[in-house]
Amino acid sequence: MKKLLYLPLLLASQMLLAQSPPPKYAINGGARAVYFADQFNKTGDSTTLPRENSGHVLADLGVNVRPNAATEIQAMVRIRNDYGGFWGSGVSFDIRQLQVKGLIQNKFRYTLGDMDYALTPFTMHRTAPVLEATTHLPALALFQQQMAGYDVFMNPDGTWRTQGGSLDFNFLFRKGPERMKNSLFAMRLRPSFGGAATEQWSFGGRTEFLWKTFPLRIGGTAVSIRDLAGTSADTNLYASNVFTTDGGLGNGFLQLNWETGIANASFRDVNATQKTDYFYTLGLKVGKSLHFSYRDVGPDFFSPAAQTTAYNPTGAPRSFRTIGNDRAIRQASIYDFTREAGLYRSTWNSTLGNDQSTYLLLDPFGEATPNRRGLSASWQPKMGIEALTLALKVDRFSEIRGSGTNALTQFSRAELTAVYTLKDWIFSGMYRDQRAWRADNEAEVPDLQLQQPWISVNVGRQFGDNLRLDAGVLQLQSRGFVHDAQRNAQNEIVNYVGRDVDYSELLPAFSLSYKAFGKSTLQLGFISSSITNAGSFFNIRSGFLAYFIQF
Amino acid sequence: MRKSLLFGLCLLGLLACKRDLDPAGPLLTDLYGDFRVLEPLSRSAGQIDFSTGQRAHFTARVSVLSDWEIQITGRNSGAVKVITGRSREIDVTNASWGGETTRFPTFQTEACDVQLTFPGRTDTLRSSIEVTGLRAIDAIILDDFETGLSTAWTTFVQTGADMKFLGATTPPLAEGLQYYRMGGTVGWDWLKGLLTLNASAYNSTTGFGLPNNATQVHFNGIFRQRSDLTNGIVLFQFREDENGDGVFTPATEDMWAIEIRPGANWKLESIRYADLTALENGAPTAPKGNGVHEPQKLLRVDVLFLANPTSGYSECDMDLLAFSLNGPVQP
Repeated sequence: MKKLLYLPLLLASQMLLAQSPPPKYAINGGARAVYFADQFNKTGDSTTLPRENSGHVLADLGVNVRPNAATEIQAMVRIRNDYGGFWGSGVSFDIRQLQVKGLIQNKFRYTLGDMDYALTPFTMHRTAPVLEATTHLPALALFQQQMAGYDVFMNPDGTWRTQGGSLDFNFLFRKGPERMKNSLFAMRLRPSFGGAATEQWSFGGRTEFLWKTFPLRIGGTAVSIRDLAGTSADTNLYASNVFTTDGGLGNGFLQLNWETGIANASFRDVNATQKTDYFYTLGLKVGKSLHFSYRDVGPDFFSPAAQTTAYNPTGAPRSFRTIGNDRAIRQASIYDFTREAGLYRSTWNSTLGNDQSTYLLLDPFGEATPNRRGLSASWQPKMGIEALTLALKVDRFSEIRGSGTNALTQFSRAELTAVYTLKDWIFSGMYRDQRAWRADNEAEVPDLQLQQPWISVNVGRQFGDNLRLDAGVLQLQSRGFVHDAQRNAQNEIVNYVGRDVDYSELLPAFSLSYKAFGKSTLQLGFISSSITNAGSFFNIRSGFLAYFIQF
Repeated sequence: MRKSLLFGLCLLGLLACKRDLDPAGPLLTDLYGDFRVLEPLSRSAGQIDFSTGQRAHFTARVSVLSDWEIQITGRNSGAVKVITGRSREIDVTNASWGGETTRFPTFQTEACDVQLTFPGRTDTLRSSIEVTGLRAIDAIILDDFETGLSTAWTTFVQTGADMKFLGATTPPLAEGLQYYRMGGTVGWDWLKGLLTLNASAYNSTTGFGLPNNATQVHFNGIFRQRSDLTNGIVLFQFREDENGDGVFTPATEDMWAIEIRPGANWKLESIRYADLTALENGAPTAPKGNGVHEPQKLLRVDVLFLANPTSGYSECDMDLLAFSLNGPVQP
């Protein structure tokens, strides 16, 4: 601790310096061409037009400029043309990305402009629990990644695409921890639009100590969201602060990890409502195949950057937006989340909104879902058959604070996945059993009882190195009775809407993928979505041809 | 090692935090439960003497959180007091009555019917209570007209046609058994009549005994207009003697005013003294004095009954002219 040594951060740039210098200018980006032929079918619906075809070609043209060895500028323009649109009609130009990165004194790495940023699962993490349903269906998962996921910058590490600046730097120590990694950020979440709205910023960062001689790491994370006073006439300002500390111990047979923290939110209302609560989670990994964790997330623990889902479950899809003779707005489904970027969020919500219990009840807001306490366990046994991979996950949770009653809702989830490879054939399947229940003592209050099984089966066949055929089916069901909570802008539950749930979604998907070279994929496919909701049935079938390339 | 210890202590501190574990949101039993009357409507006493400061309260209990309304109706006067709430239990904390009135006239010493209803439900619970003494109104009452116009007033009435500046007892009544009626036709002037009350004539006390905090003082009156007329205007002027010479000097001292255009039904009008403005021909104007509301220097109150001279006959009634402190008067 007596003497600190700065660590040059950008090792890659050092390596590059030792080799040939990178070009001063480079073109990068991606391109996509896609065409959908959609068909809608609903018995008795004489109003909705049954066919809706659409498609576009787009090119994301980026310029990467390195004016010197310590600076990198990335600018990207999107040019999009809907099929059938020429000479200005259907053609759009957009700025997709503007970013400046660089090194200061070879010690501090900074990023300005657009940036992808993530912290811990309880402070800043782009969560998308419903999309886990598509994980074992390659045709759907690939399509989601290349369409909506690509458009909204979804990354597997849970980063949010924001605008602002970040600074990363490390310290090396001679004694104690070997290294201290630091990252600071400031993001502008909302401009004031000339006083029409209150400007909102987020500040924070993370510090992590790493020991070399001892398998220990300890970190601290802070995320603060603030309305800036004076940027509008509104004097009721929203503020949220989340502070956590986390760590890991061990790198052998037993590995312990934890995170704990506190959140405080003051809402924009006359009473300046305050909510403060804490969480903690403790995990133990035994060997390579077994993992246990316990989690307790308080009912008033609100962490917008971790609890805002990547998708907006209340959004209305563009495709067949209104259906039925009464022109009802169609509810977005898994089918829509795989292809429509407009159903994804780009900003964090200060409130959880109303319960959306169509697919999930245990953790609809991800790992940081408030008012949950319980155990998780996962097991990936080593099988005697090398070609077979099994994974079992089990969750058993409970509410901490009752919802409209002293009785606590109980949750259970068990998921089994299996993958079997036989020469060029790949068989995979997933079954997830999800249940929620609560017996109310009062005779007149209907018991909460919900079953939400997910099942998916897929058969894949690899032809050579480049061609793959996948055919699979995913079914999601939700049956029982729930009391959906309705929340106000201060995240307080103001009402419960009890309803019988009888929902079923069946998604057969087929695709033929050809990976020509590098990061390009040509995909010919078919997806069908059959939804039965409270006795009402409709079906959407979509054939598509899509080409993606990144360069 | 020290850091690990600190972390451990922080963790323990967090675990020791207590959470509010009361059920979140409305109780499901309130949303789904059957509505049942668990305890009938009852009163704290059969007879109540408000003149001694007594208060009555009502109790009842129902099975689910419900909106409710208690209506107390005087059998002779027709006075109505309405108490509303949303709860499972009705008790002294939310259903207490000190003799006040919601819809005029005010209560007399009389038997009253009490009715408890629940909006959206058919259940109606009934009881009764007898008022044996009327409450004393907590206010500096300029005049309640119970014996006609107080002799402290000086009057000027135009020599128009069908002029009426007199005490009246014809129902509907407002406060007590008598009110004051102003009416007539004056084809050449807006002013029909003028009542003037000097502080010296009222109680020989400077400023009518009002405190100097203008935000505490409220001026109140109950007004109505004959139902087939809309042309009457009652203008109140409040003249302050800022320099304490016992005389109001229009050019250098403040005169605050308020204009009231009564509706067809009796209505209590109340305004904070601090919210009074200077008026000239009905329009706000700059005050002529120091511009500070100083109720303790109030020298004189004028009541001007006005109507457009071309509009024909006009008639307005008023009752209970009073100053109250810390809020509107409770008749």
